[in-house]
Amino acid sequence: MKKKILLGVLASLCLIFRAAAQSTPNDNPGITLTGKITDEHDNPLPGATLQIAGSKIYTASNQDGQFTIYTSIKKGSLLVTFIGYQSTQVAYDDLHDKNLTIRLRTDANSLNGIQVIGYGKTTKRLNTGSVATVSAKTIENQSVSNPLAALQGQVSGVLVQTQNGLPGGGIKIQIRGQGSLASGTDPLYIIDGVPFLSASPYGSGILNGANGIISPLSVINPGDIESIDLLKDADATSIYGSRGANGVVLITTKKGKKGQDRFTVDVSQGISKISRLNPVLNLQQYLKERHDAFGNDQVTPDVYNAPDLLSWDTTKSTDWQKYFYGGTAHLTSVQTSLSGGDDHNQYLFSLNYRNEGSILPGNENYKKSGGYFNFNHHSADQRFNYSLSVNYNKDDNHTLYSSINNGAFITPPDFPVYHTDGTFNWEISNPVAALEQRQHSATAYLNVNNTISYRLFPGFDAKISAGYNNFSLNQVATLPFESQDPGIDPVATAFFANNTSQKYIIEPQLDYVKNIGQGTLTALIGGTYQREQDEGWSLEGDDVSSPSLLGNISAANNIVNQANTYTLYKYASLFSRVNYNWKKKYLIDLNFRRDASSRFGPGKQFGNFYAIGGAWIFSEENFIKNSLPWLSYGKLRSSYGTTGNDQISDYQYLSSYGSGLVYNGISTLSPSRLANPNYSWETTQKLEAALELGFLNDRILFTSAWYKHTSGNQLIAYKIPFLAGFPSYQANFPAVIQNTGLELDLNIQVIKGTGFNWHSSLNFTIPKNKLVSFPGLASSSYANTYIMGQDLSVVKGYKLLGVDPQTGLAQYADINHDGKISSPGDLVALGKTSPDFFGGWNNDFTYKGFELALTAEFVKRRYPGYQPLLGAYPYNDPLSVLGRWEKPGDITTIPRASVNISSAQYNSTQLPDASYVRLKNLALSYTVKPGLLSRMGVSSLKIYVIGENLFVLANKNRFDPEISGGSTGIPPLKTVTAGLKATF
Amino acid sequence: MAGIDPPPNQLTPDKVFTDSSSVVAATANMYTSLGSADANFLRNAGSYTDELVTTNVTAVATEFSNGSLTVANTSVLSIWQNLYATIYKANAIIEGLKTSRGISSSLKDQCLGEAKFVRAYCLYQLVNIYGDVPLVTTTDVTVNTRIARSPANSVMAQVIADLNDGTQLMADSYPFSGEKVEANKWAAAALLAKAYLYAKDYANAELQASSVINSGSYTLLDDLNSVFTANNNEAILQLWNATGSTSLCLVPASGVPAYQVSPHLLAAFEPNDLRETAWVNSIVVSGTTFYYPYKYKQRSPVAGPLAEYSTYLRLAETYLVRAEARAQQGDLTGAAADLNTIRIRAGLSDANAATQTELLSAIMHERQVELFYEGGNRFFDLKRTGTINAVMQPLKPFWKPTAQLFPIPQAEVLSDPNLVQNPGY
Repeated sequence: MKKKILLGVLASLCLIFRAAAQSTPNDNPGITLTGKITDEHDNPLPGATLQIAGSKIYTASNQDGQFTIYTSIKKGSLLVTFIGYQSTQVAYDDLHDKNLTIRLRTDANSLNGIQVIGYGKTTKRLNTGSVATVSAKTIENQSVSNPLAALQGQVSGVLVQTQNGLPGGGIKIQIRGQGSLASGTDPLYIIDGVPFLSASPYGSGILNGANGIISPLSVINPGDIESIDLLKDADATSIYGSRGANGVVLITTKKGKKGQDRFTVDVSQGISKISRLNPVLNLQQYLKERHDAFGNDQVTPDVYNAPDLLSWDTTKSTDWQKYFYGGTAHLTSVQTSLSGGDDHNQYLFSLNYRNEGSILPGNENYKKSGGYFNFNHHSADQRFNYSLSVNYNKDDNHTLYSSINNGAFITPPDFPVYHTDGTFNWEISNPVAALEQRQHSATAYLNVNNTISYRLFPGFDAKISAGYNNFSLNQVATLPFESQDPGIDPVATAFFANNTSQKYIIEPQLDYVKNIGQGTLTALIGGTYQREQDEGWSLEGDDVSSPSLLGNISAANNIVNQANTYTLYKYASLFSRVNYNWKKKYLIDLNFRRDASSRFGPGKQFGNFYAIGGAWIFSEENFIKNSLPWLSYGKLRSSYGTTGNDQISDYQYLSSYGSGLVYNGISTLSPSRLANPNYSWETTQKLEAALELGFLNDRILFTSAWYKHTSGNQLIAYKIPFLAGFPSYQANFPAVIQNTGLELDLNIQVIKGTGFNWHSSLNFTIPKNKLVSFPGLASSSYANTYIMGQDLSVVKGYKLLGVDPQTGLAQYADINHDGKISSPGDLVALGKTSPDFFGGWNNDFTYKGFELALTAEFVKRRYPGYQPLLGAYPYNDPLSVLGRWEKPGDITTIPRASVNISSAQYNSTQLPDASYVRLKNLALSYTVKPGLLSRMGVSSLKIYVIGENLFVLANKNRFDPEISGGSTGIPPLKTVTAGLKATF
Repeated sequence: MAGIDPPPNQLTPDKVFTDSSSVVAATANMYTSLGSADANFLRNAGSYTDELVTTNVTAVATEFSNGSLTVANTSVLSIWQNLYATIYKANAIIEGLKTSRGISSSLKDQCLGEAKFVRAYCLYQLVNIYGDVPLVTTTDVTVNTRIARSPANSVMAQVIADLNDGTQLMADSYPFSGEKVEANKWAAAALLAKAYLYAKDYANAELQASSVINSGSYTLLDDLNSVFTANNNEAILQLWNATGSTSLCLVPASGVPAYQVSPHLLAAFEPNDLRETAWVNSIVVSGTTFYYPYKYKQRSPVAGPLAEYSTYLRLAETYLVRAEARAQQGDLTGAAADLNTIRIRAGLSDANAATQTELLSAIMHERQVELFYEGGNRFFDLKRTGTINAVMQPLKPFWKPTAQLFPIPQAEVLSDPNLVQNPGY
């Protein structure tokens, strides 16, 4: 597909050059040079531009990469340029070099690298919008299972945060801040043209095990990805209209390439461990805190409120975190691919397998496997093109039914797991028993995409793309009788949930390219019809006769809580784009899209979205070239436009009854929702201005972009008091949110030579989020959540004045002077949890066959930590409570231990620092010289070692800062893998 | 292009309220959320007062057993949430039936009566747990999101009006299945008697209680072990529960019971009270005896019909309601007769109470041992007789007089700007 669109763009370039290329040999008895332009793998490259250096003679390579050029200069050099490849200058000499073969190297990170945009392709140089591209090479250098994890620290303006580091766990991506109060803030994901589930699948009874909310993208094999393009501004996203407000992530899979059949195998093995533990009290510190709590309140401990002090053996200690999270996970990954083809047909076939153990005790395990197939056909005249991609992947995740973070962090060190008779001790919630509650999730994903295009006449292509996508999630959780507290009437229970999401999408499209004046006009018009049907059922089977039959639905004596879901989502739109590029100097880009979505009620379904973008490549101006010769590239660009957001549940406008719980054998009917027929699109206006500069022949590239996104007509599940019957209803709210920010990107080819090379890139983002207006905020149900003019992630709490040195009690500010400390009257803003700034620093060193790549990620922010209970219950506390008040006269900010529940107010005053610098990735590889291996048929061999999350620098007093206090997540794991990649 | 039909697994209200079986299904649905509200409440109300003690040391449970609730307590929220979710369903039925066509007037009356009964039951629970509460009588979201608290007496007035309607609308017999799992006329009358008693309208309380007792539909069971079995003769209203047991059962599978009968309640049983043997059981763990409530005995769920249902209203309580109403009106003989009916069934002799004060106090004591761990009666009785602080302060170190009302859940105060928190929170 890449090739096809290139052809479209280049056809126009050929037209421009035609006149010059045919500069005749008549006037001078010159020489004729012939040859072939190929890529690194000897595939011919049609459409490359060739120029005799220092002359105005140029030509372009033909369909087979062949070229012929006449020149009077008998000895000189030939300059070859081609989009997406590094420009090359080759010396020639008419005596020897009449038949040249010129290999071009792909140019992934520079200005000429291909960028995939909505319904087309361009380059960074000619793009009027804001797009960041992460290439297969960057992804390959990481041993991640979820492709989204490979984006962390790579792109400015994109905050990637791991919600749970266990296999299959969630990864949250936010592009340019939170623009929506409550509708989804996830970007739109598109894989080869087919929209993909963005967040956790919607459905019936979805089970979130120890790995938390499921990230559907973890089923995708990173090895099949050619590039991930992140679309940020209006110019890039408004072609996706109503779904572009939160940005768009375009995932493009690998395609078959011309050339000899090549077989690649990549095998790696590794181990993972938890990257950081949560610092908690040891046994002595814990017992002292609990004794202090009773002493301070003058309450006598008894066997009910203090089994930890009176009944348990206070000399025996267990390190619960080591017990639960001390394990080592082993992982194995095998990828194979076979590709090849001729000028007309190319194919790629790949298989992948990954097996990850778990750091948790027991038999947790994650397996992923699948296959990918791509076939491309081009007719002999190159007018007809066909492309087919089929991707099937499945994963099997055996994990725990629920997170054991609580058990690991708060279980007292002296807690005896078992009674003397060997049965579980239930004086407090028993975390070891919870290990017997297990869950299995099986995901299967099939994506099929077909594209047919035909060149009706030069410059005019018709294309139709049709895709089908099926995502299914099949889950079972088993809770044996023994794993539950027998004191409260447990039942052996199993939960079953089965959900599928099926989508198909058809997108016809017409592309037109024409040279007008000294410029090129490209235009496209297309339509989308998408249908998504989600179905699911779930049920609970109780009282299963035998533990070994727990996962068997027919062994349950009682089937309860059956539920099913069905939603249909239809989406239709018309989109168009016109782009004019004058002399590669002035660019203007116009986008328009009209969308209709079934998520809105009758009369509210349509919305229009548009954008205008422009760029001026001022470095092409002669006066700049003359006055600023060191400036190799300079572009000013700006865009403005609108996008929308329809990430809400289906049918919210419809008042209806659905099936409720069974009552006395009757299947009942329950009101489904508070319906509102009047809501419509949430829209975001995006404004951007950017300056792009290149110095020293683009060895230094610098981009600074400023953006302002204003989101209004907020679609919210309007939070209402429970007394209204439901917690929320769907509505538009005239609140306006503004995200502004500055994104800086610096790319430096620090050392460039034949031996040692060092490439370094830094990205840095300063985001700002502000609630600009919210009419009636004070009297709304959000009155205590948001503050006008402040960040949406504002955290409110009591204001701590200090701790009374005599009593050890915390003193809080009585903000409303009513003589008592109460919520919400005395709450103040403590700060915000969104980052002050974040970024990443990537370095790539190469020396001969060696390559060392490293990525560091940094975030400056505050985030809640794990909160102490200050001895109120037999639960362990974070190490930070050691500084608490202990005796009269102590000057401290941490109140005394107490058996009364005093910690809640104190904890609400805390919003600790959660900044960090993480060595996200470190990859070392050595590529063996082909000469040594060619006898064995090996054309290339790479040996590599990859480390993920090896090191994090952060506040010592807290758990990994990427994980919020009270979260059930585990931070990204520390992983080291070693592998071998061979191509035959 | 983007038009879609309603999903096949959902019905629009105009279809629900024009079809008899759908109306019946919507009516039955009210009881499912009512049941979830109560299972949670009864256990916690027991440990909040002097009935139960618990080994459960989670923050949520400890706040109840310490008598020091916080506004963030999730059980306090879920009790509130379930009761109001049930009120929404009742209001939706009341509104839907107003305009419905195509269903018989007898079915319409029965379902309307049940909806009013259920709404009254929820409001009665709410006003007794939280004090002044929002009086929600519509499904209109614009009204409900800004609603303020109504004085307790106007909430009780609504309860009484709904129940009076209920006694008029519903039939004597149990609807649909014939099982006692949905309200009939007598369930409304029994709750109405209790509501009048709480409202100190003793004449009406007696009148309604008598109508139930004299209906001939109910008799006190001789065997105390059968009082909580499904559809027994003493039961006036019971709830069915999907999980296979009543979910009110507190019998441990093994080991120390999570919820135990408090020493205070154990001591309240007179010698030879058959209820202490029938409704309290014990287990010995490592040499220590633990006592637990044994009204509901069916621990493990079994396939097939349930042996026990959660009992909401039963004739024994109606006798005690009438006894108290009579005593308050000076009919000491009639009061003693009703009281002794209950005592004799429990194997005890007549109460030794001659004056009105002694009689009232004997009735209160009888309520404590007859109705423990049922309907939150102990908690409500201690409050309406003004004795709660005197009883609770010695038992709970953190008890404050303001603890007699639960806090309004924090989430609720934050979402409704007109909702004011109870004092002390």
